[in-house]
Amino acid sequence: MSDGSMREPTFLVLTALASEPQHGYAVIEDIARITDGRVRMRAGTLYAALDRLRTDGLIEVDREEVVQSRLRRYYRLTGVGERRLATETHRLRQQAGVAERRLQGRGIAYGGGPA
Amino acid sequence: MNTHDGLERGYRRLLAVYPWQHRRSYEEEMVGVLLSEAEPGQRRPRPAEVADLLAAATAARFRGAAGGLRDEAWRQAASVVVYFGAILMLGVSLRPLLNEAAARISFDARGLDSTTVYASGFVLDVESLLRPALWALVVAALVLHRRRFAAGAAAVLAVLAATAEITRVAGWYAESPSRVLQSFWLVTGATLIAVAAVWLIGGVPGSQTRGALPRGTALVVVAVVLILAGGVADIAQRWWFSDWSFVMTTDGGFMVRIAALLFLAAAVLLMIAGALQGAPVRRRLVVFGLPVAVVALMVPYGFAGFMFSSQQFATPIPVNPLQWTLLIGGPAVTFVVAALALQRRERHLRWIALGQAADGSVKAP
Repeated sequence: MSDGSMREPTFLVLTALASEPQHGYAVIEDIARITDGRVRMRAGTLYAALDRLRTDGLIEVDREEVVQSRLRRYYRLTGVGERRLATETHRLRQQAGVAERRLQGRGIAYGGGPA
Repeated sequence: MNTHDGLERGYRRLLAVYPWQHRRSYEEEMVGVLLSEAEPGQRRPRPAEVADLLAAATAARFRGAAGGLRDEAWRQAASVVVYFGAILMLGVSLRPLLNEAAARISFDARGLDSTTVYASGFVLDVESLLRPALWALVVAALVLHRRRFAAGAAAVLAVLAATAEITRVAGWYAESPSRVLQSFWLVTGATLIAVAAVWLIGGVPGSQTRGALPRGTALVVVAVVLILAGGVADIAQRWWFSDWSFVMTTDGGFMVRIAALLFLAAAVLLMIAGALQGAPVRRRLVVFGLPVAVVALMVPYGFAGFMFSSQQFATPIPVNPLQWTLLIGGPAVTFVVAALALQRRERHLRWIALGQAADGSVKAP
């Protein structure tokens, strides 16, 4: 994976896996919680992201379970994944900081309406 | 059968669009997730799910195809295409210079004023020097190619050389579109070399892309020399015996036979140079060669009517959009289809080999 900016689904999947290893459906639920319901990732999008992240070595399989005759595979962040998420988080925080300062300069309070 | 079974079957039908590797890794998991996400009483996949799965499956297929093109055999084949292609293009671009030199020698030998050569269309200009100079620099960059920087330099030079070829051929369009068509194989070949050179910049350089010349390079160089010699024989035939019959002292066909033999020997050497590569590289070289072959065959056969008609009018007939699409899209589509077919074929061969190995291990005592 390049060191450029990360797409939102990738960032969200890494964020979801940052707390603990999770299976696919739990990742979807967690992302919905993280984004206050704004993002409900679909299975096709989720597994495209998981496959790409596994290929790039950012996540790996933690364990597999069979629940009600269905395979559940748990994924976890790798060291590379942790560093990439940390780098991206830092980048986003820096950009958000600049945006916040400029909004304050225009007399607009952080989070919405006028100061 | 309950609604759950029908829904699961619907999902599995959609998942069948994914490449088999993806299905093998994720199908069971995805079915579980999709069923967990389903509404109570849902009987078939929702339109949004269908769209999401189809889009993701298509993307996975493209990723798979692109990933296959990154294997070492493709890189080696691309490296051979750039090496051999640049050497051949150097030979091809040297031909007008040799043509002019032969004409001048021919005129001088007969005590004629060689400045009349210009009246015959042989003009030593910047373009005729620039093309061989650029291809020679590509070859030099490849021979000195040991670092990523050199790969980048070779790619930039190859792009410039291909641009010079395209510009030269495009310059004929206003006067003679049929001449452009006749030289379109050259444009296709030059573009292919440039694309392969740019492609080689990315990724880890393979054994053949890190300085070592590909096997058979010497044969290709000899083939180019033979092509040039054949060209000179061809030119000598034209200048000494046909256009100037008063100096004809021997059978004109003799030189034609010499030229034909030299071209034939060059073709054999090129085939041997190709055969010296490993089987996987050889198969990929065929895929690389197909776009040029398609253009070379499409122009005389598919455009025969156009070529004939275009020359019958004082104002040349322009090439229409459909014909341009065929000329440009045909080689590109040919490459993609041939590359995908080759990957599919090799995958099947691997399965057969695995099956035979497994069969052998079972039968073994």
